[in-house]
Amino acid sequence: MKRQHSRSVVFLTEVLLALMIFAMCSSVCAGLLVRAYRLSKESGSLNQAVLVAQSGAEAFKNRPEAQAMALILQGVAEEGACRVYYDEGWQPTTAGGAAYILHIVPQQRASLRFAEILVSDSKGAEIFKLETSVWTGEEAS
Amino acid sequence: MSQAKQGPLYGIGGVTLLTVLLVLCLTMFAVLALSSAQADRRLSEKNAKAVTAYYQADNQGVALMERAAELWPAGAARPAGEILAKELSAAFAAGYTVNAVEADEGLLLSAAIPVQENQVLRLALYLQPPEKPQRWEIRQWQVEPALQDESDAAFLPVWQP
Repeated sequence: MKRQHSRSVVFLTEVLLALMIFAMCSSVCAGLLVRAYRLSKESGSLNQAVLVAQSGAEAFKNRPEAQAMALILQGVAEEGACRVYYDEGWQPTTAGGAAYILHIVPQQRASLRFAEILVSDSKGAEIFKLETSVWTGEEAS
Repeated sequence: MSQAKQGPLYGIGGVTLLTVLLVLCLTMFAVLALSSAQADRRLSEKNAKAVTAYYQADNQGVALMERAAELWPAGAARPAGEILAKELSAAFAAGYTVNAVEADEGLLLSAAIPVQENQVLRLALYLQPPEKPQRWEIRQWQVEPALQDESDAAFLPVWQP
């Protein structure tokens, strides 16, 4: 009877210790998994931002006017610049539901037109930036 | 007597073994997930860097077009290819040279702008006289692998009978 009692105590102690060790290790692993998820999301956003910026750059090279770019990219022309709003799935949307923003600011110097292309999230944090230019042969008026 | 021998022996230590196995599996899974995510992140950054480098080289090509067009304004005679090449190389001496030769009525410019370590943006541009409606004719605007040294061929000797 005494022996069984002591075996039960040992068993329960072992179970408690095992649970404690498992809890500590799983909390560490959960932290690693959360970090992995965050990194994965960031690299997905960066990939999409690069693609979207490239589209913007090529649209600018084709038609370096804000209105024309807005038409090609399904965005809006505001104050001489072109803004395209994207939702979480990187589909063009309205300003209200935007998770990401593509901002193209065209400028002109002599016969050269150049643009700064910025992809940022809804909080304004920069994800990717690009500069591109195109020769039009038309002097600035 | 037999009562003393009762009770499963595997009870002691079995839980610890199970816990160790579970913790090992969970840790490996978490480490693999993190390692994979970090590799993805590095690849994304490399891609972003490559795209940025391409557009930087592209911008240099466009600046070359602007400068060359400025050096042959309306009403001026066609400049000599060598002089134009010298002016452009001096203006854009960032590890590449510009060649220019007279061709028909215009000038044929060629350059290989470095993009990354092993890539160049190869340009072949034909500059028309100022009175023509289309000033530039782009004959080549292509990213190519950078030429290796001649000595690299020695690494693969081929037996000839």
